Amino acid sequence: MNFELDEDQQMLRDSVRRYLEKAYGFEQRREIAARGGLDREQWTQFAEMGWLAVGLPESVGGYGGFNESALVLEEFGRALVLEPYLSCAVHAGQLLLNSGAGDVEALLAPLISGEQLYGVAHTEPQARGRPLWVQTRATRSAQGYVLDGTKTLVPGGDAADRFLVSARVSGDAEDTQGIALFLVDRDTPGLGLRPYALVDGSRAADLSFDGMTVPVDALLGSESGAGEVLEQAGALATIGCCAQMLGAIDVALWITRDYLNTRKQFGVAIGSFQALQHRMADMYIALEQARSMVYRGLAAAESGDRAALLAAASSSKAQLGRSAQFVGAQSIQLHGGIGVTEEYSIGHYFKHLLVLESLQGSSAYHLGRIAQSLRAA
Amino acid sequence: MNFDLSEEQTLLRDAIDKLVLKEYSFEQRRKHSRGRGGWSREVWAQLAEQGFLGLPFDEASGGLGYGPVESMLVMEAVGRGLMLEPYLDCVLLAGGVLRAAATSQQLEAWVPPIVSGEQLVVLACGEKQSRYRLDDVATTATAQGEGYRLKGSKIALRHGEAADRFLVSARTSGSRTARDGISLFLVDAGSDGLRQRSYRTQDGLRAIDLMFDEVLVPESHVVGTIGEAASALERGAQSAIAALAAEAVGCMQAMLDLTVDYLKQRKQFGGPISRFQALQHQAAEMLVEVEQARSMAMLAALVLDDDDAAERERTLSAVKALIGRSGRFVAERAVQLHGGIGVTEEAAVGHYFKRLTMIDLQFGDSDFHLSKLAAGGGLIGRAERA
Amino acid sequence: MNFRPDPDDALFRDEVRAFLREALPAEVAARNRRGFHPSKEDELWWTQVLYRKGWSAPHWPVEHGGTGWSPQRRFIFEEECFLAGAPPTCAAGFSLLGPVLYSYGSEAQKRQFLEPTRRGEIFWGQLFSEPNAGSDLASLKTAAVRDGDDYIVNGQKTWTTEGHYADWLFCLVRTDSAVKPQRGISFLIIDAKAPGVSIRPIVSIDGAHSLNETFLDDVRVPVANRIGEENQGWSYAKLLLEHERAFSAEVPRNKRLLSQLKSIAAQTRDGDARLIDEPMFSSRIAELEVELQALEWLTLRALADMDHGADARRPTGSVLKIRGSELIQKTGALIVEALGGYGLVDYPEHGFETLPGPEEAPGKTADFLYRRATTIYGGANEIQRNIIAKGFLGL
Repeated sequence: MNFELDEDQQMLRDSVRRYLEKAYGFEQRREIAARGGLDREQWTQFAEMGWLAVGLPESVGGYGGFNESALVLEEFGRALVLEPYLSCAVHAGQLLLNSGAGDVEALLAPLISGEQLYGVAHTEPQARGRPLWVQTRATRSAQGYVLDGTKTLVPGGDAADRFLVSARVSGDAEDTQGIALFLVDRDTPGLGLRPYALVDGSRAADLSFDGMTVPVDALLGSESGAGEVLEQAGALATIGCCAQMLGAIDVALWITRDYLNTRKQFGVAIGSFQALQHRMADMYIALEQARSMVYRGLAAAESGDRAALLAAASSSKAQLGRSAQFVGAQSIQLHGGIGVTEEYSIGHYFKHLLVLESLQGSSAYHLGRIAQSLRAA
Repeated sequence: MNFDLSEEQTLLRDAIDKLVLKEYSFEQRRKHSRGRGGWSREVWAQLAEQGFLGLPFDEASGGLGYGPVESMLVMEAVGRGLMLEPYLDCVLLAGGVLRAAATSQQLEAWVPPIVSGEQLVVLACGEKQSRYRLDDVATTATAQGEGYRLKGSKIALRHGEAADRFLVSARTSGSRTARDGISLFLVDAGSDGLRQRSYRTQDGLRAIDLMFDEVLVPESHVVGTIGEAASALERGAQSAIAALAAEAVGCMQAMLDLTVDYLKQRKQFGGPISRFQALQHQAAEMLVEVEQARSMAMLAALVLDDDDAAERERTLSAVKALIGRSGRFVAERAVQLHGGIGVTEEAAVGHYFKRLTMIDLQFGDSDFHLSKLAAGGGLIGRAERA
Repeated sequence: MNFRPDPDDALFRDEVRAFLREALPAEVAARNRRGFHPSKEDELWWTQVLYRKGWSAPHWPVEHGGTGWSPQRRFIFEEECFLAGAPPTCAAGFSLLGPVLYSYGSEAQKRQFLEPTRRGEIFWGQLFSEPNAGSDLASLKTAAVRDGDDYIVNGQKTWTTEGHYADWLFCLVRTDSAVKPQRGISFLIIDAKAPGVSIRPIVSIDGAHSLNETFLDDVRVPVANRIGEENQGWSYAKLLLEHERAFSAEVPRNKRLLSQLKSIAAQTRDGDARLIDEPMFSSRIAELEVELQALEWLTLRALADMDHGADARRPTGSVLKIRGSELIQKTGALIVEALGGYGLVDYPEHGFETLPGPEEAPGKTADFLYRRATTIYGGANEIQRNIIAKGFLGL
């Protein structure tokens, strides 16, 4: 077992970090957020650096594996990147790759090049983390399929060109069978889009399908076999989310440490107060636990064992949520008043972690899932 | 609403404090624990003499007619002194069930020997399958001639070995978990067909399992009305929870005091460890928990007199949930802050730890009560709008 | 010891509720219950409504317009108003400045400021903290130098809540640098419109403007605006911080949040069931309810202490502040969690109606974000633990 990065991985990490340090400093990020949170030019830059290809097989123009995706995600978390890389690159890429669609390479090429932004429209309001909760219906018609339903919290939904939409052809809300995956153009008649900002400055949207007709060739893969693909890709996206959270937790901790060493009250640096020192020690423990669980998730992804992957996604997300809540909250607390200002960066780390905690299922959801699997055993 | 002690209450509290001071130093406690059954009959006799055993019983049956607040004051002292005697089990729990179920003639006959200290009565209601549910009664009572035949078994009766009589819940009708059909019987310890198996518990006391093999109980020893004992059992359990809350507060306060003293006198790294801020803050957190627990013990005493049974149940679940959690927190912190000696048999702090752990487990632990509260729709349902 | 509530207090509660039903329009109440910051307009309007009833400064001495209520009735009144959705009144004026003024102010100062404050004609801003004087407030550096009948004040203050609403400011200044810090502080009243005073917004992480920083550049303040003796200001400030101990737990806010949590959880679907019926989630709500009960009873004990002037050494304020602030945060966090994806949406204070999500959502996450400050303001919880440990436990 080797937890060190190999040379290629180090190069990848360093190049992402260097780029973001230059182009995505905190003030630059503020401007990006003010401009709408998804800079298409920035996205194209990501493409040119090859990062949209990371984690996809070479045969379709990709580079590296899921470990490399996690590396990029961690860096993005460190820099609080607003662009929806996790969803529109990693998650969308995995879905397309495994969808069983005919010409996967043709579908992935515009994703990799950044020409097309794919939004993942899968989550529904009642799902609350359940990977297979789909009530959006798809009914066969003469022209293709008619879709009815609602999707929520689609990252990058306001800017996406095309959506990967999960809809149920048959079965009940949580059945694995009966789910289909469609590729839907943004301007399809009957597609309602309600975009909004999230509290961390990123963007998302709710989608509604009101008797929306999509052609037959919008269907990716089989009419009822998308369930397993969604589960698998969802688990990877969950672990990817953990990697992104890890990056943010790590930076928040060290920013706080630096603050404690510089801020003076009562004639001394407040970092000399033992109660605060011990708090930081507890935060460090939470960070280490988080890092460990990211590795565990990556190992499960590598193993090829599907059941292990699904279980690990829950364990990792549960731990990352706990660590994030603790480190995020204490980071603000240890900063005192400035921790709750918009001006200072630490509050933004808190808000980003808040958003990531809810994406791909909250830690409470995943704990419940683990509990459920214990009962079933 | 008045949080100051009345004169009478002050006298009562001073009396029990004095007794604890005189009879229950940690060394004396160790001696008492080596006595028969793990407690002191001498102390029990003193409790009787000073009227404590008659505290909650009404004057007609030989008691002092005091209420939950007074019981709370006594139990806090019991907790502080880590007293081993069956005050809660006999006077408050069995006594509470009796007061709720028995007829006045029965009380006049059965209570005086308890008050005088002559007889120990212990409640026998828990069974192997029942966990914390009072309505889950598999032990049966079948009518026979001028009495009843009891068959079944009860487990984990604290102080059961020393009991002269048992207050037994047995089913006269209904399915195993039905609320209706539970009856109460007063059974003498030496009865034919009654067998005991005794063992030591974690906190050094002795408990028993009781086996009923066709034990005959005369009609006169049916407590109250046949088939209607459920609410009396609830009342008893509620009194016990309120008592445990007060006892826990006493233990917690004692642990806090011990810890603060320890921090001040223990020297490491060139001075008393009380100067380390991390430890100061932990002690502060302990105090906060003690104050919360104390508040809940008071709430418990108040709600015992509430006529609304559902309100009583809910509130006491809340009390027990908090006491369990706060008690364990303070106990763990105290042991931790005592360093190595915290886990020795010699130091008092470890014994408080054990008692607080046991308190959490008695009558439902925190998780049990939180789930119960949640399933019941919660506590605070007041509409937000005026 | 007797724990039964006074039956007359129940009647008083009914009286307050009846008043609120009549005097507080549903629309104002709904607006103030959301979680966004209250507007100056709402605050002053409500102050005037209360004034006409004689209830705008209930805790002031009767001779200055107070009601003479017991601490328990004050608590009941505050709770009912808050739960009904009444806007707050100017806390800085009523709870901070007012008591210092009527305790230590000159007759002229009392005449000039007390009644107009009570009438809702003056809005106050508090100038205490500085960028380098937060927890260590006594180390403040804003200086007031004597010049004839005036002080010339220079310095920078921060964390002034609603400073941008203020007509007048009260300020702790250094009038003597040669002595122990606490001994060289004075208490000044400053006109917010005075030349040299600039109040600038501090945007908080909820994206809202409630806090401010204030720059004082050669501000001329008449000596007549100093409250009490020179260099005695710290003791006056300490007094008012101790005054409100029993209310430190913010029980009304906690009750409102818990009630909103339950309402949201009852209306949110979790799979095909209600979120509030999901055992793990409802257990977590139960845990918060239990804590709130304990907090309420801690407060009742503290109120009784106020009434009887009992053991002032007990660190009641610190205990209440620590647990009350933490409970606000935990309940707020569970509300955000209950809202699911819609707990992440950045609802603007105006115009949220056009965005998707449940009716109760707008304002909740904003409030949750702002309340990260509860464990920091009013004496950070770390300081409160110091007070308990060193001040009371003697460690």
